[in-house]
Amino acid sequence: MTKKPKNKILVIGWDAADWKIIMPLIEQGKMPAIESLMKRGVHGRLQTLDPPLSPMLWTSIATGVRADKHGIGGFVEPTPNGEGLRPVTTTSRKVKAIWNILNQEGWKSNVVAWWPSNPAEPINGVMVSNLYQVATKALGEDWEMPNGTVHPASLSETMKEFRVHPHEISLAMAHPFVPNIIDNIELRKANKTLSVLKTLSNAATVHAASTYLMDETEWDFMAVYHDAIDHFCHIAMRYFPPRRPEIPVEDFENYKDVVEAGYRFHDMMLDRTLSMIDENTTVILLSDHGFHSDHQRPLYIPQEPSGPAVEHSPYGIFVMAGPGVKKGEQISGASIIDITPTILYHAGLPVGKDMEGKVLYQCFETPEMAKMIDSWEDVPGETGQHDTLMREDPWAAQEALQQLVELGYIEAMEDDKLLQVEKSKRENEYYIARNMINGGRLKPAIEILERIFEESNILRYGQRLAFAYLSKKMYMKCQEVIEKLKTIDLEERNKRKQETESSLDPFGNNEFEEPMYLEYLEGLLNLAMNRPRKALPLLENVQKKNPNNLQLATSIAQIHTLRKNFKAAEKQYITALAIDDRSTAAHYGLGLSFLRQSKFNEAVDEFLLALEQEFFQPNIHYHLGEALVKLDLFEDAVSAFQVCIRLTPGMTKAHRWLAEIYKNKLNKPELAEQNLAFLKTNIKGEIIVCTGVDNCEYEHLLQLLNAGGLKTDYEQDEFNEAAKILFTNDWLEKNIGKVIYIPSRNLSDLPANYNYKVIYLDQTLDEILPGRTAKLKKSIPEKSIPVKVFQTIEKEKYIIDLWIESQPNQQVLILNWNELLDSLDEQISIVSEFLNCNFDVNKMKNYLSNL
Amino acid sequence: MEKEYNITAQGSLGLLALGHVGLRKWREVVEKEKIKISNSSKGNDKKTKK
Repeated sequence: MTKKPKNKILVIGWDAADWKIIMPLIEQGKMPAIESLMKRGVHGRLQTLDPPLSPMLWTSIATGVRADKHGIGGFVEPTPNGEGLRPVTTTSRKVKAIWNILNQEGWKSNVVAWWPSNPAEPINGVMVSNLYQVATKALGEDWEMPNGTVHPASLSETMKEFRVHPHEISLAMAHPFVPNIIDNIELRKANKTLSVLKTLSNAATVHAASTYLMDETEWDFMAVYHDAIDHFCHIAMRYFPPRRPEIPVEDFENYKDVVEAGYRFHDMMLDRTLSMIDENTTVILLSDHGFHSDHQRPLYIPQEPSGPAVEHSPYGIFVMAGPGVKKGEQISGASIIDITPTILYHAGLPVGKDMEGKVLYQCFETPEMAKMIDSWEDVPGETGQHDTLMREDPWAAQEALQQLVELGYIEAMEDDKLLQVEKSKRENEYYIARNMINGGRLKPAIEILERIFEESNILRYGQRLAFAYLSKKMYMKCQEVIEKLKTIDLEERNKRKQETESSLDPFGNNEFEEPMYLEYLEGLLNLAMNRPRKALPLLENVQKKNPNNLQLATSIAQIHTLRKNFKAAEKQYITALAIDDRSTAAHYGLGLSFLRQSKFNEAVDEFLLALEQEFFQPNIHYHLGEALVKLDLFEDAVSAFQVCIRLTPGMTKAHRWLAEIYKNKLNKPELAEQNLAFLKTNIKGEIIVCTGVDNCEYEHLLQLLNAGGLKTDYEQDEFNEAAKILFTNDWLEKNIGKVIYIPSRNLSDLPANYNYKVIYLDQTLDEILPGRTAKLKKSIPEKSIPVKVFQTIEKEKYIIDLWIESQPNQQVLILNWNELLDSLDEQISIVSEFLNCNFDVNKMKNYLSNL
Repeated sequence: MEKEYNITAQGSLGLLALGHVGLRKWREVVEKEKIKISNSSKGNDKKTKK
């Protein structure tokens, strides 16, 4: 039965399109079509997946799942006989694409040049494959289309007409891209110029085919994919203004306009496309990833498979306009994996629970909860998928492969093809493992990486394995891999040194010149193992040579944050934002640095900027709430904590704050009760925490409390546990109702699912210094001031104050040891009242007299 | 109201951006131009033979 959709949906893919280029062009009035589309709808950044490889990403866009589920691992796949390679095919896709689902629901679809879409699937509509636009013969020769390029095959002859051959591109057409082409005859023959013409002809071909199908066929859903922006950028982004010193002036002058002209041409095509649809058609314009166009442009393209992907940036573009879609708004938190669930929702169809993406409700004027089904894979019906593998023209596939070689995406074929196939298979597995890591599936990813690293000793595989171990907190394994990488790296460098002494090509492989990634890995490992002092110099050293590395700057900032050096953290986060002013992590980190330095207004600004980039981040909402409390903006703080709880209902810290604000600031005890009730059922119990600066008299205090009848039950081991509380806190449970010691630096690691009563043993410098200097095995000359020790103690005190300040409704008793000794009865009575218990004062006195 | 365009054999990005319609129109002009050049070169040949 045919169920006609209410509205048509048109999806346009612009591979690698990036707001950083589009926005300035819009401001100059050079991209009016996309500007009008943005005004009619919503727009925002679209987060890519790792690795940012187009066939994998466009399949995730069309399926809503990652590569291990959809099966498209990279650019190539072995031929069925396993003796060669071919570009990835539709037959390798393991799940239904959006057009297959819509096919089942009676929609008619047109799909043009999607990657991969060869051989074209027998859908109810037209599919023109990604091999369609590739010119295999010289102009004028019979340029046959490979089998399976067009479905239905009866349309093949018609579609042939719309292919534009690169040699058809005239000087007038090429002029906006390469202005010097008119006067410079040699330039017309240059490889780069020919690549530009080929890319332009491909774009014109895809566009002509799509406009024809829009005009001449009935359709309900249409998806058109353009790879030209990605190709223009790979060819000429290095010449994009401003010129960098290593770029020759002549090359810069010849190719500086390619990227801008490419974007403007796409806007012209978009303008035409939009003129062919009515206002009831929903349009989604998107890219799979961005492309670095500023100071983040890499200086080196690694000479390895998919090396050029290093130029890709993690955020693409997303614009959506149509009936029911908000107008003129910016949205955040969208990922490419959300596209299919969002289309299904918009089409009034259920979303598969097995899809990894989410519905982008924020795009719609009146969103309703999406209907869900377990899986579309189980829904029977005519999907328009292939039944069996179809044969294709191997030479046409080979030509497409050659184009990938030219662009540097894959290595040129070696003589030993079988070896090449084996290498490519391994490479595909590597991409799938990375994609799994990106989706949080570390265990199966580690299994793959362990095997392929063992088989090949390829450094990239080992690096990724080490990072995966790091994420899985398998630190010993991580260290083992680092050691192995060091050995392999040394061997490789020696081998390379012997092989060549040639000068460095600025775009050549620099991988073995400076094994900075090893220091980077070791730095991160030390950071993860809570050894910030060891991590810092390693990462700072890497940063000296990689000043534009965002991850590095944020990691160093995290170290400073761990060490409570918020001023230094602030500086690094500002560095990170200079690299990428849209980094959520950097805005959030900077906000935290401000918050901990009591710069509350600045903190609020940064948290809001972070949320503008990624809204669904409960921790950011939580800290925004905390900053608003400090500014006495309690109503706003309540909103922030409530969002936080909606995102993470079990976040006890937010409930505590809400209870505190409702009860003591907003006079709404009934609302406070709701949060307190939650806390009662979710808090495991109460623990008494004794804290103070290092070398304070905590042991005596614990023994004293123990003598008085309070259970301390501490063993030496638990003091070690206390220092590792960030990693393991199981031991806390057996200390419910007892007193434990937590060093000041670990207070912030205390989990939120316990109530704490804190006794802060405050001691003066005179009281602490003797113990501290004895520990350092130094004697202090009379009348001298040990400045460093003094500063350390002050910092530890500051950390305790900071933690107390950041805790909602925290019960803290500040106790001075000397005062306790001087007026024991009075002080014990205070402690007794604080802890709500009765002490055996005589036993306590006994203990003190034996000291 | 239909717009009138002056299409030359050199074509333009604007024509390509019009999609299949622009492509067809441009190729028509290119073909006509080719015929014109071919006829004119045939004419020249005849003149030369005389």
